[in-house]
Amino acid sequence: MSSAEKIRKLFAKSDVTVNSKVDDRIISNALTALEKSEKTKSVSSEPNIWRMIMRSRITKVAAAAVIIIALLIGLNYFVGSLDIAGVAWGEVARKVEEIQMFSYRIKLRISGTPKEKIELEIVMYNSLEHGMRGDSYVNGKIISTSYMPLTGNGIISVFPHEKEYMRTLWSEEQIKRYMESNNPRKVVKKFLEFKYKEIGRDQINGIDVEGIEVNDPKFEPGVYESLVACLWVDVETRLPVRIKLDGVASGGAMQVQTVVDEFQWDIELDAHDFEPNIPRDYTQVAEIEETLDNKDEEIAIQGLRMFAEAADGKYPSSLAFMTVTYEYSKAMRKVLDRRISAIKERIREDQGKQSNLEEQKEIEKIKNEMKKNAKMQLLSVLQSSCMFYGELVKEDKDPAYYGDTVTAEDANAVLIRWKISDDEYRVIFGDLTAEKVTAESLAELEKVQLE
Amino acid sequence: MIDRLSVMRQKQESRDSLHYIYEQYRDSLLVLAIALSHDVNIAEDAVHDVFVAFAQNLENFKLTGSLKAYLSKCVANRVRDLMRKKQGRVNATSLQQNCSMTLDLRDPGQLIVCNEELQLLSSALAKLPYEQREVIVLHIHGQMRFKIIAKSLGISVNTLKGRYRYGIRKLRSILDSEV
Repeated sequence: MSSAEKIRKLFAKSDVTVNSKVDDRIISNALTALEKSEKTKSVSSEPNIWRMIMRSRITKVAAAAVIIIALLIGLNYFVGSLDIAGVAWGEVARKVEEIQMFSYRIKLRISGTPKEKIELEIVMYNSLEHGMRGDSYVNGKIISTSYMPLTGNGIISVFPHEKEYMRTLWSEEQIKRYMESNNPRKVVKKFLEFKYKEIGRDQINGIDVEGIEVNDPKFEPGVYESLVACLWVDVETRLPVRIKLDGVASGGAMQVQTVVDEFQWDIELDAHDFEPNIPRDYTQVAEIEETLDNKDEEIAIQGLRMFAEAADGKYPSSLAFMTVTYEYSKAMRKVLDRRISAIKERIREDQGKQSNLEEQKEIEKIKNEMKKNAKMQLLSVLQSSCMFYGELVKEDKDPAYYGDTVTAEDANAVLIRWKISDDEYRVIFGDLTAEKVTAESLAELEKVQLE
Repeated sequence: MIDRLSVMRQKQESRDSLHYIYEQYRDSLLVLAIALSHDVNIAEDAVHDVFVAFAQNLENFKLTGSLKAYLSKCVANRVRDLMRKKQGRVNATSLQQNCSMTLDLRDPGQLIVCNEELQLLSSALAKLPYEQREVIVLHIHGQMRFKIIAKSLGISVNTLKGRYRYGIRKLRSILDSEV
């Protein structure tokens, strides 16, 4: 046997035993590379300048968002129109129907946020004649007052500490509709239109109460992934004493507890209490066009695009608004950190060549650009995306959302789908284009996708 | 809709193909890389880098000959680059150290463990100049023709064959002395 032949045999007998970690690393990185090569770049991975929010601005945006959410959650308690099922609870509904003016407190506690726990208290004043007003407190200090006068054109939120205010514009029609639906009888009706269970009697602040519980995220469509809502009423007066909502979002990472209590019924309120009080030296920080009514496909796409632009092409893992808020704030924080690091890096590199003063000017320029462009429109648009999906869920249109696995790079993957007729679905794809597809084609598409 | 489905299917097929190719050639490429480098870490990195690059260009990839030969050539090139890098680092600290002499291929703690034959072969090959080692491994294990190897290395076939002959003779002598 020749030398080469012997060496050839030695090669043939040579072998390796490979740990699965090696396979995982190679295959995983190769598949990622494959996906990158296939990508359709529909969303820019580099954020635009207007997305760069300075830290103080984020805090303000977040605070304002929470106020709006709380205000809307407050409003939503009084929305609903179905008939009353139970006799005793129907009596409660009739009792509160007669009340024209009242106030209550909303305590909102959000834990599992990227930065810290948020605790907020809002005292709401409602008058069916004049409008609504909400005073928001953090640690006992007032941080804002939001006015929604019946004769105005939306919500005006005033921030006394910053000497600033913002407007959320609503059409007259929107305000009218909201105010019409803002009747205390609806809170009980809303509970009764869901499958509820009686949770017996208890005592709250010395008052004997009786409660019912609803366990259904559809109670607040588009807000939470799961939700337990409880209502307690005074056994004697038959008026609501406490409403408690325990919502979970972001796969359990975020818990939101909302307690509505300290109801005061038939109180004296006049028009003056609902007129926005904006001192002359306050400046307008933002003007938002409210899109809450706009629950169509286009606004959903717009919201998802905004999210993906901030989150490097990713979509929210679920379309529960609290999840979206949580993940969006995380994405924005990353963008901000990147921007700050870049500025710091440049300061280090240019030390001696460029003064800190010039850097400060640049930061100020970014802040101003933000101020001019952001307008917080994104918050209402994102919210509308969630509301859009929430409506699909509420209306049992067989919706499905795949944002946990589909990104902007998966141009042809199904991102959202819902039923539009017996054998047809509407689909929003990963590249945010929308198409009507047959049930059969959708099934095939989803099958390939899940494989 | 049909387009979207076919794109999705094609994507799935690409993934399946990648899996298949990896499973088919993984061991052979690792043996080749270890034989060239006598270093399981370099071997793993080389195979990794080649597969990632291959996946990146899979859509535009046009096979003109044997896929195994193509991947073997890519791995050999990558091993050479990685060894140069490592040698550069070693040289910066100690000129006496040789990267190909530092690893124990029998170590069961490694993620890639070589069998006895490969340990013997790799240790013996490590004593040859890299040029001779390369042609032996590519020709015998990679089943590449001299003409192809010569072309890829930019040298004449005669020079290559000379390296091969010298290499084989020396390798035989090393193996005989070890046995």
